[in-house]
Amino acid sequence: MMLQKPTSNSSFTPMTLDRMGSRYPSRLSFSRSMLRTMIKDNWKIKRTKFDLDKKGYGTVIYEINIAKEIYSLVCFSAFLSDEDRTDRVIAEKWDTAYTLHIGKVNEAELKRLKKNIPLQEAGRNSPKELVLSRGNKSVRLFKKITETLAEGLQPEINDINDVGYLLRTTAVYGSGKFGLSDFIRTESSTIFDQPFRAEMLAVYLIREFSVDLVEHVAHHLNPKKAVKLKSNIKQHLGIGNSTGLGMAPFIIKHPKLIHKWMSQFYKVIQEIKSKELITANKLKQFVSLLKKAQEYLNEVLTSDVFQKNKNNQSKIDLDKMIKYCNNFTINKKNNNWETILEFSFKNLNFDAQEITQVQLIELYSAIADPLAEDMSSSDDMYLNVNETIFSLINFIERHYSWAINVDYTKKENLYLFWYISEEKLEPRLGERYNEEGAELEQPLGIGKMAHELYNFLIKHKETHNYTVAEFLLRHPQFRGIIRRIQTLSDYDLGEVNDNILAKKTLPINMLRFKLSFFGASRYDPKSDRWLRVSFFAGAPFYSDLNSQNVDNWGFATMNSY
Amino acid sequence: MGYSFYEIYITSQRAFRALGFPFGADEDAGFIIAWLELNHFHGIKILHNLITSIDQQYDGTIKIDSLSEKIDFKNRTILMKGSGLIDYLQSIINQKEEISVTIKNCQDAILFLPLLYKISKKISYLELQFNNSNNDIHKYKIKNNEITFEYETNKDLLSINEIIIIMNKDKKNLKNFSAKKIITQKIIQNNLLQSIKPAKDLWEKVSEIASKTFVPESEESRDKGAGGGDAND
Repeated sequence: MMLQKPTSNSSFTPMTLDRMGSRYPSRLSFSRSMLRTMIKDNWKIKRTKFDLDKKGYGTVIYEINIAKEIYSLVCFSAFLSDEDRTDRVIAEKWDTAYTLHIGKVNEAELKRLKKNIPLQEAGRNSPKELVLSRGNKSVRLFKKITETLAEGLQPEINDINDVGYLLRTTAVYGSGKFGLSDFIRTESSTIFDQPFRAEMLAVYLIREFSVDLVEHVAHHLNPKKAVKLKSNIKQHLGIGNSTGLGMAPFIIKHPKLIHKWMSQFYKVIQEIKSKELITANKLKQFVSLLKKAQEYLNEVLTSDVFQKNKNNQSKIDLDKMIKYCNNFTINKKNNNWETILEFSFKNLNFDAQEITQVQLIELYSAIADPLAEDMSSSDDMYLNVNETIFSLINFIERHYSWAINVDYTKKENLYLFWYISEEKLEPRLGERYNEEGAELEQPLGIGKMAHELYNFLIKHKETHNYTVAEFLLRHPQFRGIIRRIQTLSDYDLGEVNDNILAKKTLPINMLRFKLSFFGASRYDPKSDRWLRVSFFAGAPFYSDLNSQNVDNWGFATMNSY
Repeated sequence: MGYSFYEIYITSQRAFRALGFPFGADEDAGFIIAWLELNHFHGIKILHNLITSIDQQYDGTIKIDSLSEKIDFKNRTILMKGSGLIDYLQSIINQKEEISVTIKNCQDAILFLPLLYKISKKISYLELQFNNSNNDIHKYKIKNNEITFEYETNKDLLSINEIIIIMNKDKKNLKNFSAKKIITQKIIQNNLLQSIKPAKDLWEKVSEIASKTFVPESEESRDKGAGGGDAND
């Protein structure tokens, strides 16, 4: 059973793998902030092309009007045999394929997109495309809902809860991949100035498409009897996502961005602790949100024993928190959220601690929502060229103890290596002592590199009075790790504080960390290195979306509608 | 075929890694090539032409006794030594108003341009001078992320394969910055609007080198490396 040691706030280290793997989506998550912006800026979405045959194969376009700009989500649906259906990156065919395109799509462009988008990685995109994605049907649920609707009936919400989605994306690419628009261009010349905002819009619209598709197929199965999905049932549908190891290298390669996300999160918590007092009404709302999270944990399904145990423990621990809040006496000396958070750090498992924080944030939209619109950061790394090596050594000793105190002569601390497979450039993880390819290891073992640098510096006392610039003239092989360490001295939440080459590493913790900032829910690990999740589960569909309901779908349950 | 800036960068960076550049140096060299290619300075062609001479020959060390003496690059490429030198000059300019250094035995001087452009927000004025094959002097002047270009015919001020770099912190010296700007933020954004189109044969060669950083496919890595399972549920 997953039981973590309670930790006090003073020893709080949020960037360890076990903590990263306990995170939950919040108001700051990209799916949440994208939908808020959609309402705030009055984005208009309409289906401008619906050219599907009776079986649901063909082309659909959704146009998004934003101020004076137009974007188009172009969807392609095609027959796929069961033997070709795989969630792996190495797949070559999919049920559906998508692109988010800048502007209206004319005939020539549609022809180009039709030729390239279904090929995904093997096709070519232009800087006019922001997002490239594909998805496969959940065959079981898609078939069941099609047949049910065709009979004029509604599916049971339990059936929807069992799976969670009709379509499951298996990759959502952006930021210059396969010829797509570079983010430095997207950020400055489109409305998508926040990380993954364009991707989140695409995913939200793919969810719309999934329902349009199933209703269309149901209608053609039985035109006289078929009905559409009822709002309260379809709202429980998310859009699935199958995610593998690619997310882990992203976290290591973009530490300033990761720092930005984390620092915004903790800025919200800090502001709440320092400025907001507990009132009876706020406490009541908080307890209600904790109960909602508990109910969500009751309903969420996973076959993974580790995740099940975490969920069960979290439910038990949330009970402790709810009891504590119910017995909480508010008075002049005892009215600060710090007290409640301190209780969670001392008494709850990591997951329940995270739930406590994200549900607290729900109460203070005025603090959280502006910060959610400031989640971008440049990736530029830089050297502090005038720092002395002596000073650098001191810094490493104070901030990289998690790295320099590891014994890398022990096999278990150097067991894994990260690499890129030549097969569709899939990021993979190998076992150094059992598999070929370790000589082509990606430089993601930051702890090991910091350890090597530190030992070199300690051994070479003659370097201690050099500036970093002078040192690198003589020892340029340390350029990358010194630049990283110096840059991150200004971004202290950017570094994973664990050795990710160790045998005990669970890569899925890094996946969950990133997915929480995306806003994914319903974590369903399939191994220690890939999982399935849902996006927008419980979110209102576009036709029902308004300023009252845009933010109340976190931890949605079957009773939420 | 058209590519994004990211693709040019990541492919070049991987190529440098395959050619033996260490972590950090591969990123800098990848940036230099991608920046030049984006801005029509033929970065991929330069990289392609250097492949044989740099393959497993990485040497980024630089010996500097005094800045008043010429710095000898010993015919090793700026892709190896350029970043270290610019960092060092930055550390010196922090204590001085102006630096002017000459680098000898150094080819493809244009490779310095992305590195100087990158630091132009921190240093008021930067200048890169070198001869072309006709012995004309090329001058790139950089201020506030903008670059101008001038050339002077047959001045014969520099020896072949010599480069002058000037750094100045004094804003008074910036008056004569009136020549036509060949690089601005706006020009870079406009370049990003277009796909980058390196020559096919050169790109294929660079991509082939980059692919040496990928681990060959095997059944074991396919099964164990990234997960799998039934996708028909």
